[in-house]
Amino acid sequence: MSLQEINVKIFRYDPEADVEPRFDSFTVPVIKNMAILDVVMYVQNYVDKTLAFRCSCRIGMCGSCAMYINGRPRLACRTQVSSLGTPDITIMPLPNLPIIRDLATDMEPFFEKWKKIKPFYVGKSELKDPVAIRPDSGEREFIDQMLDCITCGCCYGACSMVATNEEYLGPAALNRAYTLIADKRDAIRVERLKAVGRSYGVWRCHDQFNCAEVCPKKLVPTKSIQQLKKRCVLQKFGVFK
Amino acid sequence: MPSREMVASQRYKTNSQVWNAVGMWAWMLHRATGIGLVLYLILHATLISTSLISGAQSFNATLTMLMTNPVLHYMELLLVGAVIYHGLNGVRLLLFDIGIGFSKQKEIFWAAMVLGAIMWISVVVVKLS
Repeated sequence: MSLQEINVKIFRYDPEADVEPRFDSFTVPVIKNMAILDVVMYVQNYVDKTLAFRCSCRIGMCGSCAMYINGRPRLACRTQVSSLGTPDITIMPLPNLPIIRDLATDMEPFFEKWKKIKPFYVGKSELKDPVAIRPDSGEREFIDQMLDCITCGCCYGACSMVATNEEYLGPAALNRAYTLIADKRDAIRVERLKAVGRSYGVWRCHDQFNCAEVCPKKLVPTKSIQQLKKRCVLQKFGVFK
Repeated sequence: MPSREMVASQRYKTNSQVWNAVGMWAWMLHRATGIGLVLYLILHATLISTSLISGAQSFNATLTMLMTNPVLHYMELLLVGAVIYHGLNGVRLLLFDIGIGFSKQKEIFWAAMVLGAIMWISVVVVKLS
């Protein structure tokens, strides 16, 4: 599909100045391989300099530019205009997060929950670094996949469980917890498991798969959460130590 | 107390979900049929208990009145549909609980729906014949 120009509707809201959010419409000329990030940059550069959004690396690594684009959270830099298949594009800020201004959301609630699972590796004291894990042992096969998370918050914005309960830790934090709990070298696995094995932790997940649906890294946090659920049960029976 | 910035974001919550995903609708329908089945069970238990409270004659009269009502008679098909959907999607969820099928969740859903449709249509054919 080749487009000449697109009609973009952008969510605008400045909590300090506006009483109500509104949508502004812009017509943007399409260039080859144009991404949504190029669209908002065009608007900011040539039409309305007050448009606020966040971005950094522009290559899908930093996870800064997640926005709610035509019905689902996506990374603006990794979403080609042509892939949306329509000249009408609506861009809103990432759901389930407070709005700083326009398309820029405050990621603090997301990272507060990220902190709750102690997102850092704590090595067992008896282990002497470097600890060798043979690549063919398969131990890290699933962990390594799940380490690709860039904390963009797309899954957090897509999750109905987060939307209906602000205490829920959310898919990204639980996925991170899994990568550490499943690591045999980790010293505080049981402590972490107790932090996630609560009603607002893993048990809040209802296998909705919205997180997996929108993840720009094609991760399946639902699977990590299921693995955590399994370990929570095993831990109750004293099998997981 | 939620901040004003959060309130603005909450107001757009209903149009900020992933509405075009299989998992979302599977979950919504699972919830809706679940609530429907609970309501049905309450009605069912109430009806059955009339036999204890007001005797056999009254129970027979109530049941005859309900089952000869054409609307209620055909609403049974809706009930069967809800049971089939909730049951089959429940099996799909149980598969996830034992660690099977995460990468094939959509395919499993559609396979369950095809199976469910065959089951439901068979019930409709039997009921109408």
